[in-house]
Amino acid sequence: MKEGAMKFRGKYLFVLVPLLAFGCIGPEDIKNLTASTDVDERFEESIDGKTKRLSLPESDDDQFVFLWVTDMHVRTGRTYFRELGEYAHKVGARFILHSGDLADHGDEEEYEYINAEIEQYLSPYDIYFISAIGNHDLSGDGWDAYKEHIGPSVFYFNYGNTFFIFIDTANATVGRDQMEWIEEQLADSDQPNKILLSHFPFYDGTLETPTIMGDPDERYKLMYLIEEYDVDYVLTGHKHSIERHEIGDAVYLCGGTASHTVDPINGDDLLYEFTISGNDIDYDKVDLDDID
Amino acid sequence: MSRSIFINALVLLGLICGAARAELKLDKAGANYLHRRSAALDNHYLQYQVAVSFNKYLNPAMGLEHDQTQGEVRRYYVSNRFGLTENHGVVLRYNHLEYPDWKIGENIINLYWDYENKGFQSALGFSYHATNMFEDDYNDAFNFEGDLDQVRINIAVSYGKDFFKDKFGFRVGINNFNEFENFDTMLAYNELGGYLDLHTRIREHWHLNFNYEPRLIGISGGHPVLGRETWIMGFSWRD
Repeated sequence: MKEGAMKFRGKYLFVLVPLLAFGCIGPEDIKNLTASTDVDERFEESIDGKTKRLSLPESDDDQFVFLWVTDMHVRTGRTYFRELGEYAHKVGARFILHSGDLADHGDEEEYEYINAEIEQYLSPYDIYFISAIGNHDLSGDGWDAYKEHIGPSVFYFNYGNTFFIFIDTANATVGRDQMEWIEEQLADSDQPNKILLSHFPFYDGTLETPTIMGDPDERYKLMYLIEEYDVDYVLTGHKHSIERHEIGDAVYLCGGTASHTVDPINGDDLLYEFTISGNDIDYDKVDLDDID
Repeated sequence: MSRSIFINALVLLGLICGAARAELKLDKAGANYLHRRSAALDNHYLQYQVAVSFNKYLNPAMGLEHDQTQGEVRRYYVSNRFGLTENHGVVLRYNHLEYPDWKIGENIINLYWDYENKGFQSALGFSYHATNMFEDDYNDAFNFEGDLDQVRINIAVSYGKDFFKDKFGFRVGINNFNEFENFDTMLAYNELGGYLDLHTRIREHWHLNFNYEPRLIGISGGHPVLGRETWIMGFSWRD
Protein backbone atom coordinates (compact mmCIF):
# COMPACT_ATOMS: atom_id res chain seq x y z
CA MET A 1 0.00 0.00 0.00
CA LYS A 2 1.24 3.44 -0.87
CA GLU A 3 2.20 5.71 1.96
CA GLY A 4 -0.17 8.41 0.67
CA ALA A 5 -3.15 6.07 0.86
CA MET A 6 -2.27 5.13 4.42
CA LYS A 7 -2.09 8.78 5.38
CA PHE A 8 -5.46 9.43 3.72
CA ARG A 9 -7.18 6.60 5.53
CA GLY A 10 -5.45 7.40 8.77
CA LYS A 11 -6.74 10.95 8.62
CA TYR A 12 -10.36 9.80 8.39
CA LEU A 13 -9.92 7.11 11.02
CA PHE A 14 -8.61 9.82 13.30
CA VAL A 15 -11.98 11.54 13.03
CA LEU A 16 -14.32 8.55 12.76
CA VAL A 17 -12.95 6.38 15.55
CA PRO A 18 -13.42 8.94 18.33
CA LEU A 19 -16.90 9.78 17.01
CA LEU A 20 -17.90 6.13 17.05
CA ALA A 21 -16.24 5.58 20.38
CA PHE A 22 -18.07 8.46 22.02
CA GLY A 23 -21.38 7.37 20.53
CA CYS A 24 -21.85 10.40 18.29
CA ILE A 25 -22.37 8.10 15.34
CA GLY A 26 -23.90 4.71 16.04
CA PRO A 27 -25.01 2.03 13.60
CA GLU A 28 -28.60 3.27 13.90
CA ASP A 29 -27.57 6.80 12.99
CA ILE A 30 -25.84 5.55 9.85
CA LYS A 31 -28.92 3.50 8.97
CA ASN A 32 -31.12 6.53 9.54
CA LEU A 33 -29.10 8.50 7.01
CA THR A 34 -30.71 6.59 4.18
CA ALA A 35 -34.37 6.79 3.26
CA SER A 36 -35.79 5.18 0.19
CA THR A 37 -37.97 7.84 -1.43
CA ASP A 38 -38.36 11.56 -1.70
CA VAL A 39 -41.34 13.81 -1.29
CA ASP A 40 -42.40 13.79 -4.96
CA GLU A 41 -42.60 10.00 -5.11
CA ARG A 42 -44.54 9.83 -1.85
CA PHE A 43 -46.92 12.51 -3.07
CA GLU A 44 -47.56 10.68 -6.32
CA GLU A 45 -48.13 7.32 -4.63
CA SER A 46 -50.44 8.91 -2.08
CA ILE A 47 -52.52 10.76 -4.66
CA ASP A 48 -52.68 7.67 -6.89
CA GLY A 49 -54.02 5.57 -4.00
CA LYS A 50 -51.02 3.25 -3.86
CA THR A 51 -51.02 3.21 -0.05
CA LYS A 52 -53.16 1.71 2.68
CA ARG A 53 -56.61 3.26 2.51
CA LEU A 54 -57.30 5.54 5.44
CA SER A 55 -60.37 5.15 7.59
CA LEU A 56 -61.58 8.68 8.35
CA PRO A 57 -64.33 9.98 10.64
CA GLU A 58 -67.42 11.70 9.24
CA SER A 59 -69.97 14.01 10.81
CA ASP A 60 -72.24 16.97 10.09
CA ASP A 61 -71.92 18.24 13.66
CA ASP A 62 -70.37 21.70 13.97
CA GLN A 63 -69.61 21.19 17.65
CA PHE A 64 -67.04 18.57 18.48
CA VAL A 65 -63.83 17.78 20.31
CA PHE A 66 -60.61 16.29 18.99
CA LEU A 67 -57.17 15.69 20.46
CA TRP A 68 -53.86 16.60 18.87
CA VAL A 69 -50.42 15.21 19.71
CA THR A 70 -47.11 15.01 17.90
CA ASP A 71 -43.77 13.20 17.84
CA MET A 72 -44.78 9.99 19.61
CA HIS A 73 -41.54 8.32 18.40
CA VAL A 74 -42.96 4.89 19.14
CA ARG A 75 -40.60 2.01 19.78
CA THR A 76 -41.95 -1.35 20.74
CA GLY A 77 -42.65 -0.84 24.43
CA ARG A 78 -44.32 1.86 26.44
CA THR A 79 -46.55 4.39 24.63
CA TYR A 80 -49.21 6.92 25.53
CA PHE A 81 -51.97 5.23 23.52
CA ARG A 82 -53.75 4.01 26.65
CA GLU A 83 -53.81 7.51 28.16
CA LEU A 84 -54.90 9.01 24.84
CA GLY A 85 -57.74 6.52 24.44
CA GLU A 86 -59.02 6.99 27.97
CA TYR A 87 -58.83 10.77 27.80
CA ALA A 88 -60.44 10.94 24.34
CA HIS A 89 -63.27 8.73 25.58
CA LYS A 90 -63.68 10.85 28.71
CA VAL A 91 -64.02 14.17 26.82
CA GLY A 92 -65.95 12.71 23.90
CA ALA A 93 -63.26 13.18 21.24
CA ARG A 94 -63.98 11.27 18.05
CA PHE A 95 -60.45 11.37 16.71
CA ILE A 96 -56.80 12.06 17.57
CA LEU A 97 -54.54 13.90 15.15
CA HIS A 98 -50.75 13.51 15.09
CA SER A 99 -48.14 15.72 13.38
CA GLY A 100 -45.54 13.14 12.44
CA ASP A 101 -42.64 11.05 13.75
CA LEU A 102 -45.07 8.35 14.74
CA ALA A 103 -42.37 5.65 14.66
CA ASP A 104 -38.87 6.24 15.97
CA HIS A 105 -36.93 4.16 13.43
CA GLY A 106 -39.47 3.62 10.64
CA ASP A 107 -39.32 -0.14 11.23
CA GLU A 108 -42.16 -2.42 10.16
CA GLU A 109 -42.25 -3.84 13.70
CA GLU A 110 -42.88 -0.36 15.07
CA TYR A 111 -45.79 0.27 12.69
CA GLU A 112 -47.28 -3.12 13.51
CA TYR A 113 -46.92 -2.30 17.20
CA ILE A 114 -48.61 1.09 16.68
CA ASN A 115 -51.56 -0.52 14.94
CA ALA A 116 -51.83 -3.09 17.74
CA GLU A 117 -51.84 -0.30 20.33
CA ILE A 118 -54.51 1.60 18.39
CA GLU A 119 -56.57 -1.58 18.14
CA GLN A 120 -56.20 -2.21 21.86
CA TYR A 121 -56.68 1.27 23.30
CA LEU A 122 -58.57 3.41 20.74
CA SER A 123 -60.75 1.06 18.70
CA PRO A 124 -62.86 -0.07 21.68
CA TYR A 125 -64.01 3.56 22.01
CA ASP A 126 -64.41 3.98 18.21
CA ILE A 127 -61.72 6.68 18.20
CA TYR A 128 -59.81 7.36 14.97
CA PHE A 129 -56.06 8.03 14.96
CA ILE A 130 -54.83 10.07 11.97
CA SER A 131 -51.19 11.04 11.42
CA ALA A 132 -49.06 13.26 9.22
CA ILE A 133 -45.72 11.79 8.17
CA GLY A 134 -42.44 12.84 9.80
CA ASN A 135 -38.76 12.41 9.06
CA HIS A 136 -38.35 9.54 11.54
CA ASP A 137 -41.20 7.71 9.81
CA LEU A 138 -38.97 7.59 6.72
CA SER A 139 -35.86 6.17 8.36
CA GLY A 140 -34.41 3.19 6.57
CA ASP A 141 -37.14 1.89 4.26
CA GLY A 142 -39.71 3.66 6.39
CA TRP A 143 -41.96 4.82 3.56
CA ASP A 144 -42.51 1.25 2.36
CA ALA A 145 -43.64 0.24 5.85
CA TYR A 146 -45.54 3.47 6.46
CA LYS A 147 -47.64 3.31 3.32
CA GLU A 148 -48.45 -0.35 3.98
CA HIS A 149 -49.36 -0.01 7.67
CA ILE A 150 -50.39 3.63 8.16
CA GLY A 151 -51.45 5.19 4.86
CA PRO A 152 -50.82 8.14 2.50
CA SER A 153 -48.44 11.01 3.20
CA VAL A 154 -50.87 13.70 1.95
CA PHE A 155 -54.65 13.77 2.32
CA TYR A 156 -57.53 15.79 3.69
CA PHE A 157 -60.91 15.21 5.24
CA ASN A 158 -63.89 17.23 6.38
CA TYR A 159 -65.50 16.79 9.77
CA GLY A 160 -68.51 18.96 10.52
CA ASN A 161 -67.62 22.48 9.45
CA THR A 162 -63.86 21.93 9.60
CA PHE A 163 -61.39 21.08 6.85
CA PHE A 164 -58.31 19.13 7.94
CA ILE A 165 -55.36 18.91 5.53
CA PHE A 166 -52.26 16.80 6.19
CA ILE A 167 -49.16 17.76 4.21
CA ASP A 168 -45.90 15.88 3.76
CA THR A 169 -42.93 17.89 5.04
CA ALA A 170 -40.91 14.87 6.15
CA ASN A 171 -38.01 15.98 3.95
CA ALA A 172 -38.36 19.60 5.17
CA THR A 173 -39.86 20.52 1.80
CA VAL A 174 -43.20 19.96 0.07
CA GLY A 175 -41.87 19.97 -3.49
CA ARG A 176 -43.47 21.64 -6.51
CA ASP A 177 -46.26 19.12 -7.15
CA GLN A 178 -47.47 19.06 -3.57
CA MET A 179 -47.28 22.86 -3.36
CA GLU A 180 -49.77 23.09 -6.24
CA TRP A 181 -51.96 20.43 -4.65
CA ILE A 182 -52.01 22.25 -1.30
CA GLU A 183 -53.14 25.47 -3.00
CA GLU A 184 -55.83 23.65 -4.98
CA GLN A 185 -57.25 21.90 -1.92
CA LEU A 186 -57.26 25.05 0.21
CA ALA A 187 -58.85 27.07 -2.60
CA ASP A 188 -61.54 24.43 -3.18
CA SER A 189 -62.56 24.16 0.46
CA ASP A 190 -65.48 26.33 1.53
CA GLN A 191 -65.43 25.18 5.14
CA PRO A 192 -65.33 28.04 7.66
CA ASN A 193 -62.67 26.31 9.76
CA LYS A 194 -59.41 25.05 8.31
CA ILE A 195 -56.60 23.24 10.11
CA LEU A 196 -53.30 22.21 8.51
CA LEU A 197 -50.97 19.55 9.92
CA SER A 198 -47.28 19.44 9.02
CA HIS A 199 -44.35 17.75 10.68
CA PHE A 200 -41.82 20.53 10.15
CA PRO A 201 -42.65 23.98 11.54
CA PHE A 202 -42.59 27.04 9.28
CA TYR A 203 -41.34 29.45 11.92
CA ASP A 204 -39.82 28.98 15.36
CA GLY A 205 -39.24 32.41 16.82
CA THR A 206 -36.70 35.19 16.51
CA LEU A 207 -33.63 33.00 16.90
CA GLU A 208 -34.23 30.73 13.93
CA THR A 209 -33.05 27.16 14.41
CA PRO A 210 -32.46 24.52 11.73
CA THR A 211 -35.55 22.59 12.86
CA ILE A 212 -37.88 24.46 10.52
CA MET A 213 -38.62 23.95 6.81
CA GLY A 214 -35.41 24.34 4.84
CA ASP A 215 -36.13 26.93 2.16
CA PRO A 216 -37.21 30.44 3.26
CA ASP A 217 -38.99 31.02 -0.07
CA GLU A 218 -41.03 27.87 0.46
CA ARG A 219 -41.89 28.82 4.03
CA TYR A 220 -43.12 32.21 2.87
CA LYS A 221 -45.24 30.73 0.10
CA LEU A 222 -46.86 28.30 2.55
CA MET A 223 -47.50 31.15 5.00
CA TYR A 224 -49.08 33.11 2.16
CA LEU A 225 -51.36 30.19 1.25
CA ILE A 226 -52.32 29.78 4.90
CA GLU A 227 -53.25 33.47 5.10
CA GLU A 228 -54.87 33.69 1.67
CA TYR A 229 -57.17 30.71 2.24
CA ASP A 230 -58.00 31.47 5.88
CA VAL A 231 -56.35 28.53 7.60
CA ASP A 232 -57.01 28.94 11.32
CA TYR A 233 -54.42 26.65 12.88
CA VAL A 234 -51.13 25.11 11.74
CA LEU A 235 -50.22 22.12 13.93
CA THR A 236 -46.56 21.09 13.74
CA GLY A 237 -43.93 19.04 15.55
CA HIS A 238 -40.34 18.01 14.90
CA LYS A 239 -38.67 20.57 17.15
CA HIS A 240 -39.88 18.89 20.38
CA SER A 241 -40.64 22.35 21.63
CA ILE A 242 -43.91 23.79 22.91
CA GLU A 243 -44.48 27.01 20.96
CA ARG A 244 -47.24 29.28 19.76
CA HIS A 245 -46.82 31.97 17.09
CA GLU A 246 -49.45 34.15 15.47
CA ILE A 247 -48.66 34.98 11.83
CA GLY A 248 -51.31 36.97 10.04
CA ASP A 249 -54.66 35.54 11.13
CA ALA A 250 -53.37 32.02 11.73
CA VAL A 251 -52.06 30.39 14.90
CA TYR A 252 -48.97 28.21 14.45
CA LEU A 253 -48.44 25.63 17.20
CA CYS A 254 -45.48 23.36 17.78
CA GLY A 255 -46.73 20.61 20.03
CA GLY A 256 -43.73 19.32 21.99
CA THR A 257 -43.86 15.53 22.18
CA ALA A 258 -46.17 12.74 23.32
CA SER A 259 -43.45 10.16 23.67
CA HIS A 260 -41.82 7.89 26.19
CA THR A 261 -38.58 7.93 24.19
CA VAL A 262 -38.01 11.68 23.83
CA ASP A 263 -39.10 14.65 25.93
CA PRO A 264 -40.03 18.22 25.00
CA ILE A 265 -37.16 20.65 25.42
CA ASN A 266 -39.29 23.11 27.37
CA GLY A 267 -41.98 21.22 29.26
CA ASP A 268 -43.74 17.91 29.73
CA ASP A 269 -45.34 15.47 27.30
CA LEU A 270 -48.59 17.00 26.13
CA LEU A 271 -51.86 16.45 24.38
CA TYR A 272 -53.92 19.35 23.07
CA GLU A 273 -57.68 19.20 23.49
CA PHE A 274 -59.37 21.19 20.72
CA THR A 275 -62.99 22.25 20.93
CA ILE A 276 -64.80 23.32 17.78
CA SER A 277 -67.96 25.29 18.43
CA GLY A 278 -69.30 26.72 15.21
CA ASN A 279 -66.63 29.06 13.91
CA ASP A 280 -64.81 29.21 17.25
CA ILE A 281 -61.76 27.05 17.84
CA ASP A 282 -60.25 26.78 21.32
CA TYR A 283 -57.72 24.48 22.83
CA ASP A 284 -56.31 23.42 26.20
CA LYS A 285 -53.04 21.70 26.94
CA VAL A 286 -53.16 18.53 29.03
CA ASP A 287 -50.14 16.91 30.67
CA LEU A 288 -50.12 13.27 29.57
CA ASP A 289 -48.59 12.12 32.87
CA ASP A 290 -51.54 13.63 34.74
CA ILE A 291 -53.98 11.26 33.05
CA ASP A 292 -54.75 8.35 35.36
CA MET B 1 -39.64 56.07 -3.93
CA SER B 2 -36.86 54.26 -2.05
CA ARG B 3 -36.47 51.91 -4.97
CA SER B 4 -35.92 54.70 -7.50
CA ILE B 5 -33.51 56.45 -5.16
CA PHE B 6 -31.50 53.29 -4.90
CA ILE B 7 -31.44 52.67 -8.64
CA ASN B 8 -30.39 56.24 -9.31
CA ALA B 9 -27.68 55.95 -6.68
CA LEU B 10 -26.40 52.83 -8.37
CA VAL B 11 -26.32 54.50 -11.78
CA LEU B 12 -24.56 57.51 -10.28
CA LEU B 13 -21.98 55.26 -8.68
CA GLY B 14 -21.35 53.62 -12.04
CA LEU B 15 -20.80 57.01 -13.63
CA ILE B 16 -18.42 58.00 -10.87
CA CYS B 17 -16.48 54.82 -11.39
CA GLY B 18 -16.18 55.43 -15.09
CA ALA B 19 -15.28 59.10 -14.84
CA ALA B 20 -12.90 59.03 -11.96
CA ARG B 21 -11.05 55.74 -12.20
CA ALA B 22 -7.86 57.43 -11.20
CA GLU B 23 -9.37 58.60 -7.92
CA LEU B 24 -11.70 55.74 -7.13
CA LYS B 25 -10.66 52.15 -7.46
CA LEU B 26 -13.25 49.96 -9.15
CA ASP B 27 -12.90 46.48 -7.69
CA LYS B 28 -15.64 44.67 -9.52
CA ALA B 29 -18.69 45.27 -11.66
CA GLY B 30 -20.91 42.72 -13.27
CA ALA B 31 -24.16 41.88 -14.98
CA ASN B 32 -25.70 38.42 -14.84
CA TYR B 33 -28.73 36.46 -15.91
CA LEU B 34 -30.21 34.21 -13.17
CA HIS B 35 -32.77 31.47 -13.04
CA ARG B 36 -34.04 30.25 -9.68
CA ARG B 37 -36.18 27.13 -9.49
CA SER B 38 -37.64 25.61 -6.34
CA ALA B 39 -40.94 24.43 -4.88
CA ALA B 40 -41.86 28.09 -4.48
CA LEU B 41 -40.04 29.94 -7.27
CA ASP B 42 -39.46 29.56 -10.98
CA ASN B 43 -38.24 33.04 -11.84
CA HIS B 44 -35.73 34.72 -14.15
CA TYR B 45 -33.69 37.73 -13.07
CA LEU B 46 -31.14 40.21 -14.31
CA GLN B 47 -28.56 40.95 -11.68
CA TYR B 48 -26.19 43.94 -11.47
CA GLN B 49 -23.38 44.48 -8.98
CA VAL B 50 -20.62 47.03 -8.44
CA ALA B 51 -17.91 47.27 -5.77
CA VAL B 52 -15.43 50.11 -5.28
CA SER B 53 -12.66 51.06 -2.84
CA PHE B 54 -11.85 54.41 -1.31
CA ASN B 55 -9.46 53.22 1.35
CA LYS B 56 -8.93 50.39 3.82
CA TYR B 57 -12.13 51.14 5.72
CA LEU B 58 -14.43 52.30 2.96
CA ASN B 59 -15.19 49.64 0.36
CA PRO B 60 -18.83 50.03 -0.63
CA ALA B 61 -20.73 47.66 -2.88
CA MET B 62 -24.20 47.66 -4.33
CA GLY B 63 -26.38 45.30 -6.29
CA LEU B 64 -29.89 44.77 -7.53
CA GLU B 65 -31.96 42.07 -9.14
CA HIS B 66 -34.65 42.83 -11.64
CA ASP B 67 -37.25 40.07 -11.79
CA GLN B 68 -37.83 39.44 -15.50
CA THR B 69 -40.75 37.14 -14.73
CA GLN B 70 -42.69 39.90 -13.02
CA GLY B 71 -40.97 42.99 -14.36
CA GLU B 72 -39.89 44.66 -11.14
CA VAL B 73 -36.78 45.18 -9.04
CA ARG B 74 -37.20 42.65 -6.25
CA ARG B 75 -33.87 42.42 -4.46
CA TYR B 76 -31.14 44.93 -3.75
CA TYR B 77 -28.35 45.54 -1.29
CA VAL B 78 -25.79 48.08 -0.22
CA SER B 79 -22.78 47.16 1.87
CA ASN B 80 -19.41 48.27 3.14
CA ARG B 81 -16.39 46.21 4.00
CA PHE B 82 -14.19 47.53 6.77
CA GLY B 83 -10.73 46.13 6.23
CA LEU B 84 -9.02 45.10 9.45
CA THR B 85 -5.83 43.49 8.20
CA GLU B 86 -4.62 42.32 4.82
CA ASN B 87 -6.73 39.17 5.14
CA HIS B 88 -9.48 40.04 7.61
CA GLY B 89 -12.45 42.33 7.35
CA VAL B 90 -15.92 43.03 8.68
CA VAL B 91 -18.86 43.52 6.33
CA LEU B 92 -22.03 45.42 7.17
CA ARG B 93 -24.80 45.00 4.61
CA TYR B 94 -28.40 46.01 4.17
CA ASN B 95 -30.62 43.81 1.98
CA HIS B 96 -34.15 44.20 0.78
CA LEU B 97 -36.08 41.45 -0.97
CA GLU B 98 -39.74 41.04 -1.72
CA TYR B 99 -42.31 38.57 -3.05
CA PRO B 100 -45.15 40.59 -4.60
CA ASP B 101 -47.44 37.62 -5.28
CA TRP B 102 -47.42 36.76 -1.60
CA LYS B 103 -47.22 40.32 -0.26
CA ILE B 104 -44.14 39.45 1.76
CA GLY B 105 -40.97 41.53 2.03
CA GLU B 106 -37.79 41.35 4.07
CA ASN B 107 -35.42 44.04 5.28
CA ILE B 108 -32.19 42.51 6.46
CA ILE B 109 -29.10 43.73 8.30
CA ASN B 110 -26.05 41.47 7.94
CA LEU B 111 -22.89 41.72 9.99
CA TYR B 112 -20.14 39.22 9.38
CA TRP B 113 -16.40 38.72 9.57
CA ASP B 114 -14.62 37.55 6.44
CA TYR B 115 -11.19 36.14 5.77
CA GLU B 116 -9.27 35.42 2.60
CA ASN B 117 -5.89 33.79 2.17
CA LYS B 118 -4.28 31.78 -0.64
CA GLY B 119 -7.56 31.15 -2.42
CA PHE B 120 -9.51 30.24 0.69
CA GLN B 121 -12.41 32.46 1.67
CA SER B 122 -14.56 32.13 4.76
CA ALA B 123 -17.18 34.20 6.51
CA LEU B 124 -19.08 33.95 9.76
CA GLY B 125 -21.74 36.27 11.11
CA PHE B 126 -25.43 36.79 11.56
CA SER B 127 -28.35 38.49 9.92
CA TYR B 128 -31.43 40.16 11.37
CA HIS B 129 -34.57 39.88 9.25
CA ALA B 130 -37.63 42.08 9.65
CA THR B 131 -40.34 40.38 7.58
CA ASN B 132 -43.34 42.43 6.50
CA MET B 133 -46.32 40.27 5.59
CA PHE B 134 -49.70 40.41 3.94
CA GLU B 135 -50.03 44.21 3.87
CA ASP B 136 -49.39 46.71 1.10
CA ASP B 137 -46.23 47.92 2.86
CA TYR B 138 -44.43 44.66 2.19
CA ASN B 139 -42.12 46.55 -0.21
CA ASP B 140 -41.29 49.32 2.28
CA ALA B 141 -37.50 49.22 2.34
CA PHE B 142 -37.27 51.07 5.65
CA ASN B 143 -39.89 49.23 7.70
CA PHE B 144 -38.06 47.31 10.40
CA GLU B 145 -41.14 46.79 12.56
CA GLY B 146 -41.76 43.48 10.84
CA ASP B 147 -44.50 40.95 11.48
CA LEU B 148 -41.79 38.33 11.97
CA ASP B 149 -38.34 38.80 13.49
CA GLN B 150 -35.69 36.31 12.51
CA VAL B 151 -32.01 36.05 13.32
CA ARG B 152 -29.96 33.64 11.23
CA ILE B 153 -26.35 32.55 11.50
CA ASN B 154 -24.38 33.12 8.30
CA ILE B 155 -21.57 30.80 7.22
CA ALA B 156 -19.56 30.55 4.00
CA VAL B 157 -16.42 28.61 3.08
CA SER B 158 -14.90 28.38 -0.37
CA TYR B 159 -11.73 27.78 -2.33
CA GLY B 160 -10.84 29.25 -5.69
CA LYS B 161 -7.91 29.20 -8.05
CA ASP B 162 -6.98 30.78 -11.37
CA PHE B 163 -4.80 28.95 -13.87
CA PHE B 164 -3.47 29.06 -17.46
CA LYS B 165 -2.04 32.53 -16.84
CA ASP B 166 -5.28 33.52 -15.13
CA LYS B 167 -7.31 32.84 -18.25
CA PHE B 168 -9.51 30.34 -16.43
CA GLY B 169 -10.56 30.04 -12.83
CA PHE B 170 -12.98 28.40 -10.48
CA ARG B 171 -14.37 28.78 -7.01
CA VAL B 172 -16.17 26.02 -5.17
CA GLY B 173 -17.78 26.39 -1.78
CA ILE B 174 -20.63 25.93 0.62
CA ASN B 175 -22.64 28.72 2.14
CA ASN B 176 -25.94 29.69 3.58
CA PHE B 177 -25.84 33.28 2.39
CA ASN B 178 -24.61 35.49 -0.41
CA GLU B 179 -24.82 39.16 -1.31
CA PHE B 180 -28.50 38.96 -2.25
CA GLU B 181 -30.07 36.61 0.29
CA ASN B 182 -29.72 34.56 3.44
CA PHE B 183 -30.95 31.01 3.51
CA ASP B 184 -31.57 28.70 6.44
CA THR B 185 -29.79 29.28 9.69
CA MET B 186 -27.26 26.50 9.70
CA LEU B 187 -25.37 24.36 7.25
CA ALA B 188 -25.68 20.62 6.95
CA TYR B 189 -28.79 20.05 9.03
CA ASN B 190 -31.93 20.79 7.07
CA GLU B 191 -30.30 22.61 4.24
CA LEU B 192 -26.90 22.67 2.61
CA GLY B 193 -26.05 24.99 -0.23
CA GLY B 194 -23.03 24.60 -2.42
CA TYR B 195 -21.87 26.37 -5.52
CA LEU B 196 -19.45 26.10 -8.37
CA ASP B 197 -18.27 29.27 -10.04
CA LEU B 198 -16.33 29.11 -13.32
CA HIS B 199 -14.92 32.10 -15.12
CA THR B 200 -12.75 32.79 -18.11
CA ARG B 201 -10.94 36.01 -18.98
CA ILE B 202 -12.00 37.23 -22.42
CA ARG B 203 -10.15 40.57 -22.35
CA GLU B 204 -8.02 42.37 -19.81
CA HIS B 205 -10.24 42.74 -16.71
CA TRP B 206 -13.28 41.31 -18.51
CA HIS B 207 -14.55 37.86 -17.58
CA LEU B 208 -17.32 35.53 -18.64
CA ASN B 209 -18.93 33.84 -15.60
CA PHE B 210 -20.97 30.74 -14.99
CA ASN B 211 -22.31 29.77 -11.59
CA TYR B 212 -24.41 26.81 -10.50
CA GLU B 213 -25.83 26.64 -6.99
CA PRO B 214 -27.78 23.58 -5.84
CA ARG B 215 -29.30 23.63 -2.37
CA LEU B 216 -30.14 20.36 -0.64
CA ILE B 217 -33.07 20.23 1.78
CA GLY B 218 -34.09 17.58 4.28
CA ILE B 219 -30.68 16.34 5.31
CA SER B 220 -31.89 15.76 8.86
CA GLY B 221 -34.72 13.65 7.50
CA GLY B 222 -32.26 11.16 6.12
CA HIS B 223 -32.87 11.67 2.41
CA PRO B 224 -31.83 15.05 1.06
CA VAL B 225 -33.72 16.36 -1.93
CA LEU B 226 -32.75 19.09 -4.33
CA GLY B 227 -34.59 22.05 -2.88
CA ARG B 228 -33.50 24.87 -5.13
CA GLU B 229 -31.27 25.35 -8.11
CA THR B 230 -29.82 28.64 -9.30
CA TRP B 231 -28.07 29.12 -12.62
CA ILE B 232 -26.12 32.31 -13.26
CA MET B 233 -24.39 33.46 -16.45
CA GLY B 234 -22.91 36.85 -17.18
CA PHE B 235 -20.02 39.24 -17.58
CA SER B 236 -17.86 40.90 -14.98
CA TRP B 237 -15.10 43.46 -14.82
CA ARG B 238 -12.49 42.61 -12.21
CA ASP B 239 -9.50 44.59 -11.12
